[in-house]
Amino acid sequence: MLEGHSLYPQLRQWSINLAVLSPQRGQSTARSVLATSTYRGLLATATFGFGVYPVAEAPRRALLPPPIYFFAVTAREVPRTPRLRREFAGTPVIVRAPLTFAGLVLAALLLSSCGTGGLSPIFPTPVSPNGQDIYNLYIGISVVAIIVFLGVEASILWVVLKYRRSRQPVGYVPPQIHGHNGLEIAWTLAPLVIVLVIVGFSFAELQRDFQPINNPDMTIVVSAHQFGWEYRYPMDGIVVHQEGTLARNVTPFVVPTNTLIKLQFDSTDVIHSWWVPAITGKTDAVPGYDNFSWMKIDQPGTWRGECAELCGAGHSTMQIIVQAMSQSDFDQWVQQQAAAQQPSASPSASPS
Amino acid sequence: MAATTVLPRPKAYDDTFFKPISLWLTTTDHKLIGIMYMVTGILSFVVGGIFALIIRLQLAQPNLSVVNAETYNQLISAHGVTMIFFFVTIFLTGIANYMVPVMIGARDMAFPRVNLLGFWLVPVSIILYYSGFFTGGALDAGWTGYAPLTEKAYQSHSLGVDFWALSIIVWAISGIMASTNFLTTIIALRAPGMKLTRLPLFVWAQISTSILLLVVGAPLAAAMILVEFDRQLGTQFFTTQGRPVLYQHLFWFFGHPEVYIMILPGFGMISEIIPVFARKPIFGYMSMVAALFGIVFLSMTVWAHHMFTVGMNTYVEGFFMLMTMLIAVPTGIKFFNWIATAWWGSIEFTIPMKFAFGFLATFLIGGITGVYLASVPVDTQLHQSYYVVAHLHYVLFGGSVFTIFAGIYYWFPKITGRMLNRKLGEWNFWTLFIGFNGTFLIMHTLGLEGMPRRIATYTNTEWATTNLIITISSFLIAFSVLLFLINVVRSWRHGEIAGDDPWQANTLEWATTSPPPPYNFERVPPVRSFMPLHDLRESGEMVDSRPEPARA
Repeated sequence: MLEGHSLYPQLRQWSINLAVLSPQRGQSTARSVLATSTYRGLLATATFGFGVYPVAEAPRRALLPPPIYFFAVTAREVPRTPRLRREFAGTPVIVRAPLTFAGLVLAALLLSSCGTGGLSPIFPTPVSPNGQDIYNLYIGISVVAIIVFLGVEASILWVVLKYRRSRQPVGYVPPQIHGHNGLEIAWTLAPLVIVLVIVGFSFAELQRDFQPINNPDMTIVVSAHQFGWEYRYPMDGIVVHQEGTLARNVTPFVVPTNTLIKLQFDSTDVIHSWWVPAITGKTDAVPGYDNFSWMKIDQPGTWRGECAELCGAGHSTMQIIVQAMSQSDFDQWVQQQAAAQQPSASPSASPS
Repeated sequence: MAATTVLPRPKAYDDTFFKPISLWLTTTDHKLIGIMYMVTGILSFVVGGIFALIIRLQLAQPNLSVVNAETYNQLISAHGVTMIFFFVTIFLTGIANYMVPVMIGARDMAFPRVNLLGFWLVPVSIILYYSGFFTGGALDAGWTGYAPLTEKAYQSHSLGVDFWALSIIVWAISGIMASTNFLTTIIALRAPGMKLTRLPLFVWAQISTSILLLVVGAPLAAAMILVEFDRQLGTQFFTTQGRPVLYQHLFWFFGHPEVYIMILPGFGMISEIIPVFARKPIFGYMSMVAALFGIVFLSMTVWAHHMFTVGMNTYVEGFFMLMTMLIAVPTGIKFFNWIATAWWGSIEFTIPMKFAFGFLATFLIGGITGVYLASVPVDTQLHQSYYVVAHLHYVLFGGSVFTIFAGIYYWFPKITGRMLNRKLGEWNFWTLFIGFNGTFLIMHTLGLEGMPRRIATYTNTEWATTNLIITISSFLIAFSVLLFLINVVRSWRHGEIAGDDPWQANTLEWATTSPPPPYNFERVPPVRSFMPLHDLRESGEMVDSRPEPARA
């Protein structure tokens, strides 16, 4: 079965080379070609995280060539001296590859939870143009970041695998290099160019979406307190109180779709921060400071958020629900609110 | 060298594990003070770690109530303060206190009694902070202690904030004393031949760290004094009616350079360790030094990147974004120089070298996520979320803690005369590496999905699995630290004898005995480059006491 495996010729050649090059490892040239059981053990190690070998044939970690090293990371705990190896020759030894195994488990976990929304490498799909722009910028930076990450990690891994002492010829003396001006200038300029490009795109986005709004369709004042939010609409007397709770259903903050809404933040006590990731980034509500944000939601729906600045014992209860509805539904909602609130304000007025 | 002459040493300095308490209390020897700093740091690490485990238990599943919200807020604050002020900074001060004079061939620090006072202010600071727990509750506004949440109006029930402010003032004074001492020592007490261009890079890192702490320690103390004025004298600096954002400016003018105070000495250690075990000189010595000072300068111009959501002018934000991103340049230089040092080397993967490469692999992630956070628009999404928690732990755990472990495994033989156990060290490294990445890698996704940091509990069941994996992994970290502690205590008493120079290293501290005598050197060897011991070995003036370097 193993004879047909793609690694087999390489393994076989390697074991023969090993026997010829280092007979002092306690093996004669004749019997050092690894038995089939050892290959099976190696394959099991790579697949399941561990494998069982007879001691006589169990390879020591240092003897494994780089291609195997990727898979079977720590094959060890094998008796080190020839005498002990002979003595325990028949004893099966477990050879482990915990890293491989952990990696497989982790990959499986990541893959299985990606679909369920448990893990996600990106934000929820944004529903407001400023959120969409931030999202695009995030993706743009990620392209560069992933290339840099893979490049540098690969070179670290290359150094680890290629230049370890056990892979170098006996008596190897490394070249005593003290530096290289060209290289040093290159890796000063390359990051400089990369970050300047990122700064440029980020600054353009900053100018596009973070400037004061002069002509909003509607301005809503978001006033934060310990522990809850108060949304004051421009329409007379309409206020939504979103009081802090750990229940999932807080009073929704209702807004019309396709309307440019300016949010004006303030706080009556400590600093809070209003954050609904699906709409846009967070904005701090600082007492005594004018701070603003805006949104223009393009579809009806409900989105969740939370206070993002530690504001006291009730911080985790300051939940946010934003509910967007079409203009006609919104008008209806406004009338309901007016009807509900007016009797207490002026009992004589009749609902419209 | 050691083989030829061994002078009798005072009884108090023999290699035993226990020394008389009177000696510890009164010593002005930089080495003993250094050990006390380091032990204080490690004890704080354990305490801060226990806080973290309770935090992780609370967050393991939605809607848990292992602790209530008030206690939770105290725990996260205590975790942050303990780890940042009482563990990383203190431990790094300790290892520098021990190593810097020996590495430059001096007998002691320039001001031994200032050193003594500076150290003993640290326990005072720590005791002050924890006293808060007995006065109705310690600080509960996060380690940053943002006003106005720390003001009397919202904290009338306890004195925790007052004790925190006093503790940090004492801590800042201690730090300023230590920095002055380091700078004076390095400028004035270098051995003959030890020019500035021949200083070990760890010493250069200590110079830059000390400059940073000197500059930013005072504004921190000022911020704390103003907080106390507000609370006790009724002033209105940072109150709801005052200017709360001013506090953030003052705090982060200290707070961001503090990040570099915690990582530059680590950079220095990595710059010592990689050349020794790759058997190559450091690549680009001068650009490494220049990069350190580039970081020192830039780190003082970036503080407002912690405040991109308070509503600053977009041009101000643009400036801080630019300066923040520019830090990637000197950091990149250091990174590439380290890799180039190991390239073509003959690398021996001892435990210090494993931790050094663990640092390279993980710190890179912290650096890259830092670029996302520096971009103002993206930061408005990621700020104050679990993405930031993951990022800062990649920088402080993957950065500082991995370098601290590398430094301990590297210098433990010099400090105690004994090797740390290699097998336990392997376990320590791999469990830490896996536990750390298991904890913090997937934490990024929680932030992207909208989980804010510092919430005492959460109701969103979609976050449950991720949080459970994080909690389990965090206990693997705890197990790893336990192995480390066992290793230290066991090896200090029963470890294999190390000899003067177990690693065949390059710098002066390995020329003296392990541990060094009170006067450090019987005779300071000649210094002709930044690798004096390497030169002596090459020219045959020094014969290695051990033919094979020990493996630990």
